Amino acid sequence: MLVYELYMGNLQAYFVSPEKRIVGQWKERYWNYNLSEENKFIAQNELHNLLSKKFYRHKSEVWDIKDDQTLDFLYEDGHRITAKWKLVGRGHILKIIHRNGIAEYFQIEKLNKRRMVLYVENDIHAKGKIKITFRKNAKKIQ
Amino acid sequence: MLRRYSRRRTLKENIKLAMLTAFTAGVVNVASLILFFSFTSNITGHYAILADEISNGNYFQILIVFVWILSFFAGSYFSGFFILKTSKKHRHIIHLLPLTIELTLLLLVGIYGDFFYQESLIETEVLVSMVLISMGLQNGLTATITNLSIKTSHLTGLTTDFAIHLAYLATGKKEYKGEVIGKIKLQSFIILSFMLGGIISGIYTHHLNFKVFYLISIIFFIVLISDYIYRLLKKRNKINGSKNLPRPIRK
Repeated sequence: MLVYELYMGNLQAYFVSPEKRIVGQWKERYWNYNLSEENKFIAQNELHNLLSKKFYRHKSEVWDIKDDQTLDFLYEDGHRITAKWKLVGRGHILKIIHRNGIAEYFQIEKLNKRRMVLYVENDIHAKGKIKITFRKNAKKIQ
Repeated sequence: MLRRYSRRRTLKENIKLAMLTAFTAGVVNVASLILFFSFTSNITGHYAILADEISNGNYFQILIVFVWILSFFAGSYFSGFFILKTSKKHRHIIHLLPLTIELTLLLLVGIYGDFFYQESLIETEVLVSMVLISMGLQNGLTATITNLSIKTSHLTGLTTDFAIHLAYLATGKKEYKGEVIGKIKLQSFIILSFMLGGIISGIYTHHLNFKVFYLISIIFFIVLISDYIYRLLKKRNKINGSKNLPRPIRK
């Protein structure tokens, strides 16, 4: 019986929905731009500026993803911006809906207890992939 | 378009059926991609995704993709089983049940999406499964009643066949030339209809959202009704015709 319960418990842990797994505070660690050969002449900073014009910039933030489908972007200076989030597809796309109605899409490359890797879903894909790596905050920021 | 079974079907009937089903598959596929971020008219990609998810150890996603593949399989299996099991006497109505189920499923997806959908993951998985069942039903139906000559919901095999048939014509061989030209015609119509459905869906799904599934349901409903009326009229003409026949002369 104990073996069965342990087995079922482990099995349930494996089958945790990404909707539950994503809940928590995630600290942005890196932004990587894998530029294609023909676009390597664009400096990384230039591309970052270009991206920030095209969609919201999240650098040096903590993403506080809550189970009520809201998300707080916590900035270093203490201010926060709230948005809504949803997972779409088979749970591999994170959709963030901002207050002004603008939706951003991120492809979830990796999502485990400690690490989350997102790829920006944007038409800028033609210029290369943009990867954001997060580490889960062990200590929650209030 | 739907009445005749297997080898008794003419090229014209096959083209009509292929155009209808390829068009709807094109609409549904692009609508699903926009609304659910998933293809639903074919499952080749889902096998690749399944393999990818297995290699990454994403058990929840493995389960989802497996259920999706199973949904398409179940739809095709039901169509095939029902058609093959139907007695010869009722062959003229074999399309009725699979198409009615498909119509109902797509209508339910449209209604649920339009009024109740909260974009939760479980809702998405269930709705995608329903669309996959309906596409499986459609594919199984067309493939079975046309003796496996039409499959309209995916174009990988069809593009291969199309290329082979064109290559055959290019060789200049005259044997089976008529048959090959007929197949090329059929395949071109399938490709064009699928593309047209996809383009229309791409343009209108952004505005109509889930209402696009109503459009497909209406098209199927019109086809079913017109097919029924046609059969009714033909039956009446047959009865009237037999009444007007001259009586045999008794010696």
